[in-house]
Amino acid sequence: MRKYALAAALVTLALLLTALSVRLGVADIGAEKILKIILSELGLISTEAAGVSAHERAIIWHIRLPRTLTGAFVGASLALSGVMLQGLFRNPMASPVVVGVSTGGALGATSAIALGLGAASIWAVPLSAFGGALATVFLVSLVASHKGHTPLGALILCGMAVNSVAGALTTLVLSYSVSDFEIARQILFWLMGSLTNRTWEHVILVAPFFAASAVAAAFFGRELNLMMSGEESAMALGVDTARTKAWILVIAAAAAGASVAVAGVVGFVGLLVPHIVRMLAGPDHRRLLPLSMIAGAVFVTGMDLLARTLSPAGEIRLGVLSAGVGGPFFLYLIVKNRARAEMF
Amino acid sequence: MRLKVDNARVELGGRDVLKGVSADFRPGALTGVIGPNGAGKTTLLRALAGLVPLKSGRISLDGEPIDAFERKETARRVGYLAQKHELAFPFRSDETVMMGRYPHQGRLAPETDADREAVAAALRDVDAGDLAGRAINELSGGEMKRVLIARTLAAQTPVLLLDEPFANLDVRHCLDILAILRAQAREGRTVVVSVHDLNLAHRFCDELLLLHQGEVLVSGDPQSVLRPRFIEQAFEVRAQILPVNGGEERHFILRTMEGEE
Repeated sequence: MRKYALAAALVTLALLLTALSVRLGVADIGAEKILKIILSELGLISTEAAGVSAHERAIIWHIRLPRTLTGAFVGASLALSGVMLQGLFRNPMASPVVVGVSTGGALGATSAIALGLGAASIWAVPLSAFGGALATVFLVSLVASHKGHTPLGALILCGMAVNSVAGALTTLVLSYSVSDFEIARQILFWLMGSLTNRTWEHVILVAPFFAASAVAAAFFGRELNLMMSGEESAMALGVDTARTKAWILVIAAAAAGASVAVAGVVGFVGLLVPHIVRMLAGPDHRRLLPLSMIAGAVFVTGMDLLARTLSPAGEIRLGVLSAGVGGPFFLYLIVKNRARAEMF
Repeated sequence: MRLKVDNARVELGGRDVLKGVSADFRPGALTGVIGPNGAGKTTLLRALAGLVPLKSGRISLDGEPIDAFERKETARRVGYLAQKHELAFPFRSDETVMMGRYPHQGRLAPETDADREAVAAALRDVDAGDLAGRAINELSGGEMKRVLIARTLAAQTPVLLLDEPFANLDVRHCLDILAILRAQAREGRTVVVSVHDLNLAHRFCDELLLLHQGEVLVSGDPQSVLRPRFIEQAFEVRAQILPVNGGEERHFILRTMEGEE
């Protein structure tokens, strides 16, 4: 019963935060107007019947709604990626940022922007981010894992190395692009992690990647559980470990890459969310995966709402806030669970 | 199922660990694999489970080569329990045992009554019914081992391979597990287990396979394998065999070669 209660609570919270995120802002637009705008945009009522100003329509339909949805997808994708990576490395410390997948994705995205590929196709940036993420997760798994074991130290050191190389290369790309102000500004944006000025285009970019990885991930719940007791044990119990690992790698990279492509590097979601959900719902991936995705959406939507309402001018970036809130909370979790050292 | 290995060679890290091992494990028998550390017991069991590639030779199940099967097909036939385990995440004992049912389950299919019955029976078999709801990483070493043995039993495979299942077990549970493995063999399963304790090996196993430096030194019934000269050659200890219970059983007293007496 407890798992259903948790699922219900998370879904309720997600809907509540989505509604709040669309409702709250500098311009005070009532719930009834919002509903009318959405219904008329969906073609369910005529634009005239809605009776709202073009200005209000633009705020709700073109600013707040895509931003909220992008945030929800980003959070869900990062949490999904975190669950997959923690499963892949059998290590609860793995996350898109720790492993370097996010930074690799950012490098892919910035390279695409700097080369002007973004103008060629809207898919260029997310695909490059996916490529960068996939390359880094592959590299880390190649270097940090030996004979099917991934020691925590090796994983974190390897992640650090990959992070610094990808970070340096991103800075290099950035320094070559400084002459073009617009490109430099876009790249900086990615690096800080933000949902400002997200449009429907971003929703359309992140949604299919998220949906595809979520559906693919659903097929691997049992395999992930079995992989937790070690690669050889999983193999002995019938898991095709090589194929499973390849799939997990691709899914984790797709989810993280897509989220990096539309929102930049947002830290701690992929680490923190699976952790909290695992504490509440247990380690079974068939529960952990869906619950973490909803919880990730809740976390990012909530953080972005906070970022917007604390500072309407937008000085607080989502990446800053999620790390600022997530970091201390994670420290608290470590202290609280120090006795059960095997958790960390 | 008859598990047969013909002239198997395995190389690990540039070292020949198995140098042409042949053996025939018959259904209905509990076979003990004995030998000193590094003799290749673990590698032999892993190879039998299809977990390490052979350099040459062949392993077959009822005549069919084991590498012709898909992983899941092998797992439906051969259950394997490794010596070491990684338990980084706090699964409950019953969830852990349910993982043994994986080869019988469809990709997204929910657990069936047959799965749940197999899990409950396996937990009962290893006297771990009361551990079902507890997190596996909070159990004692022996309790954990019993749960993992239950996971192997839950798969209900015709072949069971267990690598040193007795480490960490107290005397009573050790004897219990041996009794269970014997019962499994009596039901027609092929049970192979690596054992360190020669007294246990002699008392409980129907057949013994003595490995020495990656080769079979001798195999057959316990009486003929556990002779002082084989023990001395393989383990480099002096063995004295005492008949107990009016000659029905034997007790092995082992001393170092340099020892007095």
